[in-house]
Amino acid sequence: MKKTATIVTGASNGIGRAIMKRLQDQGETVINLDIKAPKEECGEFHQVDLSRHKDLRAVLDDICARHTVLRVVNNAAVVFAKPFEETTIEDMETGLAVNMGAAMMCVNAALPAMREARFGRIVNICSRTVTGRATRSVYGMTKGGVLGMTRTWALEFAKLGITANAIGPGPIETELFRLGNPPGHPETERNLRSVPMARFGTPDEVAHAAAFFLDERSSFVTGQILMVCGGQTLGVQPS
Amino acid sequence: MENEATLVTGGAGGIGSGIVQRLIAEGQRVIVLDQHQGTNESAIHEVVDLSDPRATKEALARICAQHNITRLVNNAALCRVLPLEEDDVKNLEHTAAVNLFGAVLCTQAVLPAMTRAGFGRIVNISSRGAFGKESRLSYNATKAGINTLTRTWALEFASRGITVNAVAPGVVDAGMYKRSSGIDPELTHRTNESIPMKRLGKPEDVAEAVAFFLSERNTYITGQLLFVCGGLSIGRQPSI
Repeated sequence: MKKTATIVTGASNGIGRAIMKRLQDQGETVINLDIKAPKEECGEFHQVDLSRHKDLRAVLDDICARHTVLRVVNNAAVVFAKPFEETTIEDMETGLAVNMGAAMMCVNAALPAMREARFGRIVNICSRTVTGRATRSVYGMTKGGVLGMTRTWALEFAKLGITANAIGPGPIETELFRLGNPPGHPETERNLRSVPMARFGTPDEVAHAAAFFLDERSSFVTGQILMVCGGQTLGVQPS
Repeated sequence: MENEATLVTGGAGGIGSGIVQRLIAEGQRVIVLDQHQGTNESAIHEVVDLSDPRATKEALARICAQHNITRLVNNAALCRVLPLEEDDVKNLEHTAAVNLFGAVLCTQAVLPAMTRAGFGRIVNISSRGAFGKESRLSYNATKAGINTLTRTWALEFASRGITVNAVAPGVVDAGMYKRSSGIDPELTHRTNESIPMKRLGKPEDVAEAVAFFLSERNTYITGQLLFVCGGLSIGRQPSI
């Protein structure tokens, strides 16, 4: 019998890496799909540009031939931070391909095994940006799109023992985040002040939420978005 | 402002033509951008395939050279009802090209005139589907995407006198519904029964909400999503 496994996209760094480590600590087999190799070797890794769907298809076929993938974490994403006027068709095409198209492909690849097992866990890493953030049109558009897919998958799979949920990280201090938000910069300080907990989150704190949704015992929660944002969305969330 | 106009995408049929009719009745100069030639003689019709972003961009440049568009209704949308297994990346790309890229390109094209005028009204047509509905994976994803665009733009344009809001129709007895669920009389009956008001919506129900958001007097509402659903979303409406 093939071993069960979890796919985590974009697990070479940051939040994805933390999710992968957390699951490995729990004894799970985790497979990382990322455009960049991890700094330290850590489990099965496939180097693939998630916007190149032919390449992604080949990698997924290979993985699914060797593993029974019952958990998928769609974490990889490209971010564009620019005024709306400067948004290009190419930005939209890349954003759609990586942030939404690749997620769809990973879920579709794992679906036959999940159906057969009558068990599956899908976690989509969205963003607190779905509540709106200036200069994030393409990123927000695709993350909102992922939320729409999460809810649709939740409904479609509700009778199959497969749950689909989303996580909305707020400002999380990854290497990439520190590059874009240097400590002490006025914009970083403003961002910090918008978090009631008065600090940025850690990748492990997001991984904890992912582990909860991925747990076998999380069997009656589906189609939800859980913000991991230190309270940043409080009071701005429309009802 | 001279040559002031309202642009309505997908205004040749369905809900869109109801919106166009309503705005013309208010005395607005309406330009319809649609893949089909519209029949409303009081509107200006421009035909383009909105699933082709580059062609759309060109058409918009032409239109915006002649008109100062200070009101925009991003209404055009594509919805293919498909079993999940058949709703693939290809369909996602096609659907997103119309439903998302089209909205982005229209908004980009009209923004200079709105910014010059210090006034603009943008209404995005969303859908209840953004909160989940079977057999519409790509469509729902794009409608949830437009909800986030609505909030993003509302924040980004707030200081320029431009408001951005979304209207989410429930089940409306028009083009898209008629072509999909509406062909099944038993399903239509069950749908009717599930709606608190016990009737399907009409294009003019949606047009009313759109006209409200487009009004010059609507000056302090931005980034909001209004359901026009006969009460269908009550108790089921998530927060985002």
